[in-house]
Amino acid sequence: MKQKEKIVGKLISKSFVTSQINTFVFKLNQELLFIPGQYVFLEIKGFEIKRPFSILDYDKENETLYLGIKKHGEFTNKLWSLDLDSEVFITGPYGRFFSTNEKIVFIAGGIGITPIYNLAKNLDKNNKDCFLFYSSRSEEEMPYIKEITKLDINKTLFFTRKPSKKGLNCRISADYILKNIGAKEMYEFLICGPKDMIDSVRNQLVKAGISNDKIKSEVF
Amino acid sequence: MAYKIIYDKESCIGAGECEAISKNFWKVDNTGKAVLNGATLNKETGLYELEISDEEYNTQKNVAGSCPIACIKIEKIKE
Repeated sequence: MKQKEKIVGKLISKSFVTSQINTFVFKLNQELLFIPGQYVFLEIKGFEIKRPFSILDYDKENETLYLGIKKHGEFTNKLWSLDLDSEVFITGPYGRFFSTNEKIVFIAGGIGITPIYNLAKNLDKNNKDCFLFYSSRSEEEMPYIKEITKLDINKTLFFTRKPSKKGLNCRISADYILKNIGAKEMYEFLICGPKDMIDSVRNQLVKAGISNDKIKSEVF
Repeated sequence: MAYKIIYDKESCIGAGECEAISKNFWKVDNTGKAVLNGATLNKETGLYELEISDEEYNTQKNVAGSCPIACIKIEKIKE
C-alpha cells in the first residue's frame, strides 16, 4: 500500500476562537471521505514537517474542511502566519477514535473537543443516549463553547480555574459522570484532551467498575 | 533470509494503517497506540521487535510504508 494521496487545500478563512486557538478553513480540490473522530496530516508548502489535526467539521457540498488548531510550536506558528489563498497538502484520514456503540459518553478537555465535536454533531438525531462532559479552565478559554451549546446532546460543562454559571466549577469526575448516565455497563467512553486528564478520568472510571476495554482515548 | 519488524510505540499516533493492512499482527489499542502482537521490547533501544517469516515480508513492508510517521521499520536479521 502506498502513502495516501495528497489533497490540496486552499486556505479560505482563519478566525480566532480563543486567544490561542484558530479555526482554519480549507477549500479542498477533491472530496474527503472520513469517519467522525479521525484526523488528517497537514503539510505547508516549502516547510518540511507535517502535523496531524483532528477534523473539526467538513462541508461535503462545498468540500471545505474545518480544523480547530491550538498555537503550539514551530508548525502552528507558521500556520498562523499563512496568508489567505495559500495552499497546503492534506493527507488522510487516519485514526481509530470512534465507536460503533449506540450509547457513548464523550469526555473532552480544552482543544480535545475537536474530534468529539464532530462525533457528537454527527450522531443520529434520534439518539438521546449519548452524553458530553466538557472541561476548560474558563468560559473565555473554552473552545467552541457556542457551537457545543447548540448541539442536541445531553451535556455538562466544567470550569476548573475561573467560575462560570454555564456549568460546574470543578474538574470532571467519574463519580459525577456515572451518577448522571444511568446504566453504566451499556456505555463506551471516548476521552480526548491532555494526558493528565485522560489518565485521571480513565483511572477513576476503572476504579468505579468500568472495563478498561470500554474506554478509548486520544491524547492532545 | 530472515527479517524483523522494529516498531517505535512511543512515537505511534494511532493512525491505524497497520491494522487496516495486517489485522493479525497489528491492533490499535484503547489508548490510541498500535500493538504489535507477539513483539518483545528491546530494553536497550526502547523499541519493539518481532521476527517475521519470508512469506510475511511483503505485507509488513507495506505496513511500514503506509505508516504516516514512519515508526515501523523492517530490517534484515544479520546472519
